[in-house]
Amino acid sequence: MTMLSSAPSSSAPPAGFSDPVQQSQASFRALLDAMARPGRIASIAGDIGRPDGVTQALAAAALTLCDLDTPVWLGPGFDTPALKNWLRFHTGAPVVAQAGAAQFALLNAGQPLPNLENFAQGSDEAPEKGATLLIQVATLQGKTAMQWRGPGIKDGVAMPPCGLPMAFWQQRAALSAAFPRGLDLYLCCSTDLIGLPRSTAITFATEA
Amino acid sequence: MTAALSPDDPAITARQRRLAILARTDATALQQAWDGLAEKPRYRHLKVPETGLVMVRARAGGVGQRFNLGEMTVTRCVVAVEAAGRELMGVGYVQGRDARKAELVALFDALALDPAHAPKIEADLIVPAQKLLAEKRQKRAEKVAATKVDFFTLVRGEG
Repeated sequence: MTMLSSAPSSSAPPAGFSDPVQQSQASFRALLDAMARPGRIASIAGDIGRPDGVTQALAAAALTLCDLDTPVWLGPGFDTPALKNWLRFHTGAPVVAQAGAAQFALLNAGQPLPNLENFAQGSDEAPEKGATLLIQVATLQGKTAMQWRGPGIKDGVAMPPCGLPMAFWQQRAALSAAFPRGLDLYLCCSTDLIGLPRSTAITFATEA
Repeated sequence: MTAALSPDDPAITARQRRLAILARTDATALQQAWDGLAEKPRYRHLKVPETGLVMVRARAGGVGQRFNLGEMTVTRCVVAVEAAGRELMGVGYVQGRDARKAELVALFDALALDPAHAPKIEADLIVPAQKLLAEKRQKRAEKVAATKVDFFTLVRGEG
């Protein structure tokens, strides 16, 4: 028996959803709810096999949203063979080298984040072409730093920086001017996630 | 990642042949072969068995335009089997909705990559199954041949 080149010994990726049908539907529901109610935390339950360093919420979002038709870009810290293998095995999504070509991007807030302008913002005719960023953050808590307002939020919601630098939030706030172009974000921490659609306007505490 | 795979790689053609035979083998025969293993390997699912539709495409006579013949129910499964301190990935695609069969095909596919198991699987499972398939095909061909009709036209007024 010759060594099979298509199956190197270490290539078997982690398992992904243990119950793909139920879990992907539950995750999709959670992702929808999170995006419809910006700032409200949605939780992902269940058992999800994933590479080291990837949290449950980010793994669930990636497995649920990505497929053959959605190019994915992996940010610093996530651009590893293990994560690439795992994502490709379970979703079939092509991993692209150019951030601007991606529909989804997996970012790790523990690493330097790329400029938000690098990602596809869509156009006025086709705003849906704007990318969705899945950002893994260390916390969703903290001292209030800003107000979110917009569809899905009654009055306004006071938000912490969620472990992201203020420079990032300034960049995100600046994107609001280009609406309906823009980026949709999911902030993922452990089993929790928060949605931040492009329709949400951000004002900072000092300006209020 | 590994280097680009060539479809002519002998390891790949051997695996294709094995998978083609396993997929057509009776589920009970596979189960018996599994029960007959002296020591069951530990394994985990990478993809639990799932059933879906696959579009079957064809070309009339193997040439000409490609067309969609129809959809076919297929069940697939991917497992990682522990063998000699490493994990071997096995895949199983079978016609129909038999989840256990897809799983067994995947398990045998993985085990056949392990030099310790390969000769036994080849001798005890693959070769007999291949023989059975060939016999079935032969029988069917004979049955079909027996009903063959030759169309011809009688020519009148000759001579």
